[in-house]
Amino acid sequence: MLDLTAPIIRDELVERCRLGDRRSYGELYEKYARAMYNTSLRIVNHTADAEDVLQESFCDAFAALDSFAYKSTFGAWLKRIVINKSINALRKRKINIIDIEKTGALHMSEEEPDDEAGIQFKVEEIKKAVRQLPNGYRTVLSLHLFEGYDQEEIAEILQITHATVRTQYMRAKQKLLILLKQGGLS
Amino acid sequence: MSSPLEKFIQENRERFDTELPNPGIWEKVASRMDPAGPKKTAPLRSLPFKRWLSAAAVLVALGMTLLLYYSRKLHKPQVEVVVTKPARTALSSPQPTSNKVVDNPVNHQPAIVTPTNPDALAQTSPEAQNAEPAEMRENKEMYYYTKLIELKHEELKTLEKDEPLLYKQFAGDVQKLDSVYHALQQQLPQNSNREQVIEALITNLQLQIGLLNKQLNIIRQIKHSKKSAYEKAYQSV
Repeated sequence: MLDLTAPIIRDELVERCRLGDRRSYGELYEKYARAMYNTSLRIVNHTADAEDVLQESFCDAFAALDSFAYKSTFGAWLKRIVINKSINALRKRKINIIDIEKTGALHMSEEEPDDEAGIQFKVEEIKKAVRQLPNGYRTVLSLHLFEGYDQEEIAEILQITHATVRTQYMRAKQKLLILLKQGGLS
Repeated sequence: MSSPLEKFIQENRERFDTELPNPGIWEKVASRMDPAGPKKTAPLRSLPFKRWLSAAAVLVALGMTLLLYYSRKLHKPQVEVVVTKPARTALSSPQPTSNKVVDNPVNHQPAIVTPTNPDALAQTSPEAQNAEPAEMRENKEMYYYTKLIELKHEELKTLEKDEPLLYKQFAGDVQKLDSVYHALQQQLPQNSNREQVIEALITNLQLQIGLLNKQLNIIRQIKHSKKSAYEKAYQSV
């Protein structure tokens, strides 16, 4: 019911593209390309792959623009395309989305909330630490921390169970904190 | 459950998106859009055209809801029950005009209600006599509408050669309404509330006429713009 009564706020730029305005396509690309590229890069961890994902995503999104129905914002819709393509790119490289780490994080207790106290966070250091995470951890962590999906959504995107998402995320975060501490020391 | 790390990233989210993609990517995206280009380089005509199409779609939707509303109302039983079989009466009344309606090859609505001869009606159902004046009036009304629709169809048909795609779309829209019409017509013999079904049938015909009028208007517009474009080109030579 709510969906029916909620007003549809149309994206003016998207509407202009739908009418065939070539320049609006360019504007739409300019508006979203950087954010989408960074989103993809955090998952695939490989610039050439991320650029392929970016190109494919925009081509697909433009081709399917008529079917975009404002169930979410255009940005969220596009981001979902980018994420799906990024995960596919990872899988193509035969990378296991679920990491089973034999060392380190696995043996760590999950209840160490004070672990991150006293760490001075810096953007560049976090970026570097994220790049060092194993693929599966990095994917789950960035979907939650950077893209703001909740655990249920991540479970659906990655086709894994809710419980797996939870443990993967906990371990990924622990690992990240360790990397940050090491980075801070050195 | 926001931890310091989560909080920090949320607050500085923008600062994490600093990598820049290769500027050549846009060119690749743009070049792959080209196949769809020609379709989209006619904004002058496609805008009003799309608007007209959506107007037609709204009309169709309106018709559906109206008919749904009527057919729901019909479940209320009424005392005044008139049992007639229009299909039979139509067959038993060989009116020359009605035959013309059916035989006309241009006609796209194969089973438009043919006006029933009041005498034949009285023969097949004597109990319907007190309802007859109203029914006659309704039959006349329906006949008038079907005739009008037929004429408009003929006019529309001339479009087929010039704009086959457009014609197909238009015919499809009218067909939707028409199929509802037939469904209603089939209900007619079984339904106890005849009057309301007939009313719905008439409403449907009126909607069809409205839709056809809109379609013809679009065609006139297109013809007009083509003509003026042609004249302009001619003058500039």
